[in-house]
Amino acid sequence: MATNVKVDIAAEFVGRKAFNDAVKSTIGLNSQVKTLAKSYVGLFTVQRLGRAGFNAAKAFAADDKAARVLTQSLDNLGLAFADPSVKNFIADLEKQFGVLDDQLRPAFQRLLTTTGDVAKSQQLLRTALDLSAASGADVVSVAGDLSKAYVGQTRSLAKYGIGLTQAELKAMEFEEVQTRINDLFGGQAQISVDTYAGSLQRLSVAANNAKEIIGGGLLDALAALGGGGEGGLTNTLNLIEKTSTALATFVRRFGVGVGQLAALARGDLKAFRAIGEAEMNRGRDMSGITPAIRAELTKAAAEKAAAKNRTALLKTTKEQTKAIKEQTALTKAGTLFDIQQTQIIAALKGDISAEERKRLELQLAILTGNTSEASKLAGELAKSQGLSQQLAAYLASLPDAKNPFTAWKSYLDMIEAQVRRISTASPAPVTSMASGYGVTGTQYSLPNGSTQTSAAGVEFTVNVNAGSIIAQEGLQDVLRDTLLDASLSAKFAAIYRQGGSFGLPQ
Amino acid sequence: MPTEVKGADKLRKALKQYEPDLAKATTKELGNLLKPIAAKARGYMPAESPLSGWAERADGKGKFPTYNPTIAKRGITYKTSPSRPNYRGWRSLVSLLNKSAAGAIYETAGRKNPGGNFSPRLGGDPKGQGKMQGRGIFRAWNEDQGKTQGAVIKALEGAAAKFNAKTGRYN
Repeated sequence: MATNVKVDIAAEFVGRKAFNDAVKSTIGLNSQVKTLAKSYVGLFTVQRLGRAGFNAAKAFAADDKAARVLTQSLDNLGLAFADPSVKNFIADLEKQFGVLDDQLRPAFQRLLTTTGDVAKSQQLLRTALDLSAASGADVVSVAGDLSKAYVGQTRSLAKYGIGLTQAELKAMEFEEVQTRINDLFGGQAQISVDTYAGSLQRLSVAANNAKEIIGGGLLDALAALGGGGEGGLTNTLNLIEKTSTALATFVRRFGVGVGQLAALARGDLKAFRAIGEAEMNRGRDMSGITPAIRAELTKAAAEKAAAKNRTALLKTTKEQTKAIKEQTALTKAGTLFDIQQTQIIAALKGDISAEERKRLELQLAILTGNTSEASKLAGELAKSQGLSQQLAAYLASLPDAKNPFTAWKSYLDMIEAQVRRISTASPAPVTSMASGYGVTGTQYSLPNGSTQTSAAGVEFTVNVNAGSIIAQEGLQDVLRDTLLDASLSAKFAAIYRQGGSFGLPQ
Repeated sequence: MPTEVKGADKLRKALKQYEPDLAKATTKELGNLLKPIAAKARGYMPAESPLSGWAERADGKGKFPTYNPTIAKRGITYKTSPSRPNYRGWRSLVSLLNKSAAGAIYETAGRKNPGGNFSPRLGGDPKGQGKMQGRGIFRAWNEDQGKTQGAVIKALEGAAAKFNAKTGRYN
């Protein structure tokens, strides 16, 4: 950072050059001022006046067109009666706020075509002026945004910073939004007018209006030159056209004359005649074709052109049809895509394993084009697959599981040996069971509840010493009677059965 | 106030063109004369910020230059090459400078308005008068009492004399 904090120990005065520079600068400035003065003088030359007049007429024409368009819009909406009041309203706004009617009219027209109500449009135009002054946007754009908001498209209002989110804007009624705008920006247009910039704007408006007035006067003057009235301007324009044509003809023929004179001076009569004939035949048909043939040729050319147009139209139609087919196919493909998505989403909601979930999420990411998510999921899935493979390898490497029934064999063998031992052991003398009935034989000690089956062909020999028993039936009777005696406490069923009957007494 | 040396710029150009060795020697001689006073002025610059709030800090975002003693000391230097003419037409030939922003503040603070909360707390001892009053280079210059200035002028005159003696071209 350069500072001026220094001690000058030795210095030298070199001011002469600076003075020379100053002299040169003064001379240069003087020259520039003279040039500028000449330029200003040139501004008032006829040429500049003509251009200014043309610009004024152009401005007037544009203003007149805008006014007529607005009038027509009012007429179309059935509001023609309001035309004078609208004109006054716009003129007042123009004077009050320093905004050109070139902007106010289109803005008002946009609002009018949207609302269809003059009073509402006037109200909204004032709001638009305030919002325009606050935001710096031109009033036509602001009016356009308000028009959209009026029909529900409030999105464009967010850019003006009215402190409402898109959701709030959508949820609110337009009147509420307008009230908020008026609360926030009301009076901005008037304040803007009171500033220096506003004053300059009003000056500009006045200058533009002056230009339009001058332009209107100029056009009136041209109309008066042509006789005035409705066709006055047309007459003047025709006159100008005729004059221009005549002037062009004069210039051309002057050139022809000079050319002929030059040819004459050279003694070239042939060239002299050729130049004259060319001028005489200018614009004439020298091809020798009769009108009838020309008509035929014209007709043939028209038919050829029509055929060409038909071919082009056919081609365009075919291309359009093809495009529609492609579009349809794309739409169908898009539908399939949606179905796939739906299926995947439905599957994701189900009870699935983590790996299956990853697979489905990966498919969904690929379908939706979410590349980052897809690559991430693909990595995770690969990792998961790797883990599964590791688990499978681990399981494969495990030793064979032991047979849980291995020990049973020895146990069963032990039982078998025990049975064998029992079967081969010496029988103990019968002491109780068969003594009452004279049954003799070997008494077996079997486990409680077990059933002994003589699969090995062991034979039991029962010697009955009951005297009267001579057959198996007799033994059965003895046994039954004995059991009855033991437990008989007057059971009638047994008594009856003993008596040979099987039913209860009648 | 600087001493006006007429024809010094021509002498410098002539030395550079015809006697480059003498030009270098003159520059070196001037440097040797100015070094002590510059060192003295550096010594007057505080080794740390005189006000704690003026010191450099990591989160400092203000535009007001903070005081870094290294930068402030490094900013005190001298110059033996001519400057561009100022608006009055004067070209400085030899000068003593306090170039850093914080150093310049320390040098001149309180010169116009001595009161307040800032300049009285800076410490130092402003010396000199008017626009030549200050705590660094102006103080050193004031305490030098014109000895260096005289030596510089003498050196320039000596260089001119040597050049004339060698070449006889410069008058």
